[in-house]
Amino acid sequence: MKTPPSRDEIEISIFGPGIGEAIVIHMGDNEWLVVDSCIDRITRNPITIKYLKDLNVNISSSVKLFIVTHWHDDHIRGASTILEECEGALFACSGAIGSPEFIQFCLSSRGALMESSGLDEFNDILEILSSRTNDGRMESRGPQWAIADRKLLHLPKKGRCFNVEVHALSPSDAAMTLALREIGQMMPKAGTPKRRVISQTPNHASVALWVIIEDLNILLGSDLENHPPNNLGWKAVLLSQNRPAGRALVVKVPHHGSSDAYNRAMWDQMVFSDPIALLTPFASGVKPLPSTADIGRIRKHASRIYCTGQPLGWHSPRRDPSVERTIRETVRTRRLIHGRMGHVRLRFRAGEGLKNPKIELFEGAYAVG
Amino acid sequence: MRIPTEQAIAQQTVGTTEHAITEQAIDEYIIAPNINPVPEGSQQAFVNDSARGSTEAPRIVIELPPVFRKPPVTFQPQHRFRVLQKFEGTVLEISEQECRALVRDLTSPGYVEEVTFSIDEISASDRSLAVPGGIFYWYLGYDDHIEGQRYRSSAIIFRRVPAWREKDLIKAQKKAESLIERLGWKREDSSFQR
Repeated sequence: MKTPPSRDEIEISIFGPGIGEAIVIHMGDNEWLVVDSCIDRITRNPITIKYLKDLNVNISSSVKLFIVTHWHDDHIRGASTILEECEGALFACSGAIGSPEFIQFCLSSRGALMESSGLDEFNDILEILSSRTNDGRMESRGPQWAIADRKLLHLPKKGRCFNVEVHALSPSDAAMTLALREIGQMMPKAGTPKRRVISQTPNHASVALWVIIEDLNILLGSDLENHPPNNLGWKAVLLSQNRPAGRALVVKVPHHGSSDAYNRAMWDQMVFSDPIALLTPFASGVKPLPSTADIGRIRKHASRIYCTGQPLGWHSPRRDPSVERTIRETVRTRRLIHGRMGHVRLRFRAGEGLKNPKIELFEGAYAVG
Repeated sequence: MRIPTEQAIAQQTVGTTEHAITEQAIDEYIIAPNINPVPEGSQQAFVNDSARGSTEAPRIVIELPPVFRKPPVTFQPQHRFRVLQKFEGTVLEISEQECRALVRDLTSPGYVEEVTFSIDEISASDRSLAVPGGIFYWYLGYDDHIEGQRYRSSAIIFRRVPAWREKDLIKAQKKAESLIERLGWKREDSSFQR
């Protein structure tokens, strides 16, 4: 597990502990892309940092781009720690939160009982970025707002193994406007009781990514959903005239495989037939994801599906039997949502496509049968 | 508990020494709560009389109400709640029948569970606090009653948090303006208004 990829080897690693996900991609030449963050329950640190350190990666210089796709807790937990370590990385996040209103929203949340790790992390990220700006360090880069059809990174082939490009496919203009309205509705008002921030609206502000490494395309679907109208979510991505051309060989299935995020045209138009599909579970919510029906739907497009863990089945800590009995008598449904950290690692050489990929599954990860 | 009679009290107070009735002595007795309530001011008059410091022996002719000897002060709780498990919860969704919430284990930190429970588990006084984002504590344990019975118990108690104050919001706005300036985003032509 601790062997780093060779210079000309592409790696896609996806982590998921049941709620939350993180992705690292080796773009060749020991240069890395980090997407989102989640915490390892045992070490209490971002799993990405631990993994890259295990590979002996010089995090401060080798991570070129760190993207937070949206501010929800399950994608941003530990992100400020990652940014602190990735001194040389460009930081990018959804353009939908690049507003003074959102910053004020974050700042008013701090120490006001409406704590949310998402908002707290974003607060810390802004503080780190502002301190970097102030001390004039060259590496003070970002935030770069990710919006539909914007190229976030370009590493030309000159002196490298591969040409690398990272494009944002979302959020659309309409999604940004909607996100601003949602933030406006969540803003605290004088006289109203303090509460925690619970965002329950569909996630149109999430950043879906298109990663090009030489001739290989990777689609990272983030949590982008598929709701009407056409100027939001996957519908807007598909209608865009400016998104990068081509089809992806590897797909991070959007929003944990939920039916809300399924768009048949996305699979038909943006993905090769029979790609490798990577999934993370989401154990919270009304129903855990992916469900059997979700898996069945994905299977119509991809026969090779790998998931970082089961959405159900983790064990609660050992508690007093009378406590367990009382819990059972009190609650109607119950599930543990922080489970084992699972890790799916995909390595292959560019130019070979996915003819001979090396797929490794660690901890709770499994091949969906 | 030994309850002195009215006569015994009278003998004790009058029979020892005429000046011996002090506040300390009075403090040893408490007035029986339910039997013959003390005429208002009678006890106070008694104290004042003794505190005058007259050289003439006072004649105490006060009719003492029935009193009891004050029991020794010991802590005797009616019942004790022994907490075995604590959770901190956040309401995610609430309907007329049930509440869906995220509960964080405070006894074994690191575990988070999502639960749904009946609205009936929430006391009537807390129902208005049960809204998405509302914070509560969930205690599970034993209720040990003084009679010796032990009950398994579950209590969901919502946290009463203060309301937003205008000055909190103004402070956040100022901090946001400062941060925006430090990030180099400040526009010359417009101020950032909430």
